[in-house]
Amino acid sequence: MENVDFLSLFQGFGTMVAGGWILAIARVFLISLGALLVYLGWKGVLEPMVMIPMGLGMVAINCGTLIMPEGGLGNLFLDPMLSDTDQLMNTMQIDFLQPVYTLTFSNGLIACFVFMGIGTLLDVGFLLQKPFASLFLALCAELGTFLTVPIASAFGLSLKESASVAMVGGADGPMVLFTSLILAKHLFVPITVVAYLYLGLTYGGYPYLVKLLIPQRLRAIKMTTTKPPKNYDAKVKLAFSVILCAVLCFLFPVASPLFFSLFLGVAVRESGMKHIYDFVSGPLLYGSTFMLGLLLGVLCDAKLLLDPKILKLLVLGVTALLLSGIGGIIGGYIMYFIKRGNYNPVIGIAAVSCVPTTAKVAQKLVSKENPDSFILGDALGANISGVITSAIITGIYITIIPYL
Amino acid sequence: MLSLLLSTLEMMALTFIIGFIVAGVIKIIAAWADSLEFHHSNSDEMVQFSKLNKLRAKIGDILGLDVVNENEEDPVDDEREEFRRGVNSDLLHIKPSGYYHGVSHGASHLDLMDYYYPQDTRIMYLKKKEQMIRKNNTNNKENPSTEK
Repeated sequence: MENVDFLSLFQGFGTMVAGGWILAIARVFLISLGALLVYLGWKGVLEPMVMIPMGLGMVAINCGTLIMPEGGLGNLFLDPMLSDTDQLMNTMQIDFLQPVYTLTFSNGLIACFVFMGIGTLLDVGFLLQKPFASLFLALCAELGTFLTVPIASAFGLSLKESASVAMVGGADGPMVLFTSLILAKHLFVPITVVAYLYLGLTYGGYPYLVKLLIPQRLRAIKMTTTKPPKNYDAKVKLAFSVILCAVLCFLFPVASPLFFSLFLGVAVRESGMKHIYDFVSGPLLYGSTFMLGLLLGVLCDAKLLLDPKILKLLVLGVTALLLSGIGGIIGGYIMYFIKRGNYNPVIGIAAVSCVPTTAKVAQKLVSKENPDSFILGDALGANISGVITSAIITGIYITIIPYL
Repeated sequence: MLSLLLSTLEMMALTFIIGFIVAGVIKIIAAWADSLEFHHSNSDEMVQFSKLNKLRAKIGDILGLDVVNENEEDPVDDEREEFRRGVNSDLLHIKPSGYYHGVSHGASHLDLMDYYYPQDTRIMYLKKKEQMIRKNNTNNKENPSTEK
């Protein structure tokens, strides 16, 4: 017993000393950040479904670092940097989250599952009513996705890395995951973590942006329509999902798994397969989102994130989201002028495709100013269009960027 | 840097083009859905009308009234209606001329064309007049004494 060292016995503390002070500070920071995320998720400021497992994962991975038999620092959760198949098979038998990470996260399956679930939440009827207006807003709300590419290049990132981080502006987690997986696999973990962290922030941050750029008088606009809203038949929506899936897969085969997943969700919703609908919109969506949050948290290992590019990614991610929000609001203003004042520019923020968070944010802001104004239908149309445009840009980046 | 900015703008333009193509596809689907809905609502309306007619006929039967079945009076079955619409089913001219609205066969040499197509009527009139003048001229040549 005399030979047993305190730091060897309690390796969490031992690795703090063994890893050096920079790593120790980073671990303490991430543990605190994890706790803060859990608190903010619980308070409802951030999306609790992602933030609570993510925060707890961050706490656990940074506390649970141990010294591996070969002498280096490691953990019993997962190792995202493995590429050798033998090593991977050995690790899969030891690290409990390694099978989930290897078989669902790193191949994009979990993103497809989330997209399938999102598809079941989408009522494409809103998009069928005003396709041009909705898609125009969504295209404007991709401003950050485009402008961040040259900005990131100016920051010293390669073109592939720039495109991957710029996708944060699309505010679509699975798209960011998919793009970085294909274009910048070495930055896959930090970009995905940054993206999901910021996506959680849209709920709390965008209302301030809207209040800053749109005066109260315009936020309170109640839109009047001469035509009653149409209720499209389920078979029309089903035909919509089939035709659009075919068109988009035809245009961008690289992003076809995502298109397929999204429109499969829409098809499940509209085809009346109740049991499948209940499964995809419930256990599959929530289970995948929970596991996604958990894996993101576990990936926030200080050792992994101590990359000099992380700070740049943090700045670029927030720039992309900010520019996209501004672009969406500009789109809203353009529609306001085209419709001669009969359009609420707040709808523009819903075109940032964080389904359905930004649509809810838009309706909440408008209801606060004018309880009679109901914009959720138009906002959801723009929101769904945002998903489609993000998918189009993913296809364009994956196809064109490697040739530039 | 400038080339990258240009490439970004090109990709932006491409996204806008594809976006609007997608919007066009969605609009086509929506228009198809609208026409489908119109067709359905129209056929529903016709089914409703026929149901109402049958109900009316049944009530008439029960009450012992002489109910006029509108289907029997369907103007489409009336040949005169065909004429009114400018449809001539008598292409082989089996029927005697002068069959038109309200006038029995043989009562008039005019037909529906004279009523509804004044231009044609004018041409026919001129042709007929020409024929008559020719006939008169030939008669006068053959029999000049009658002119005196």
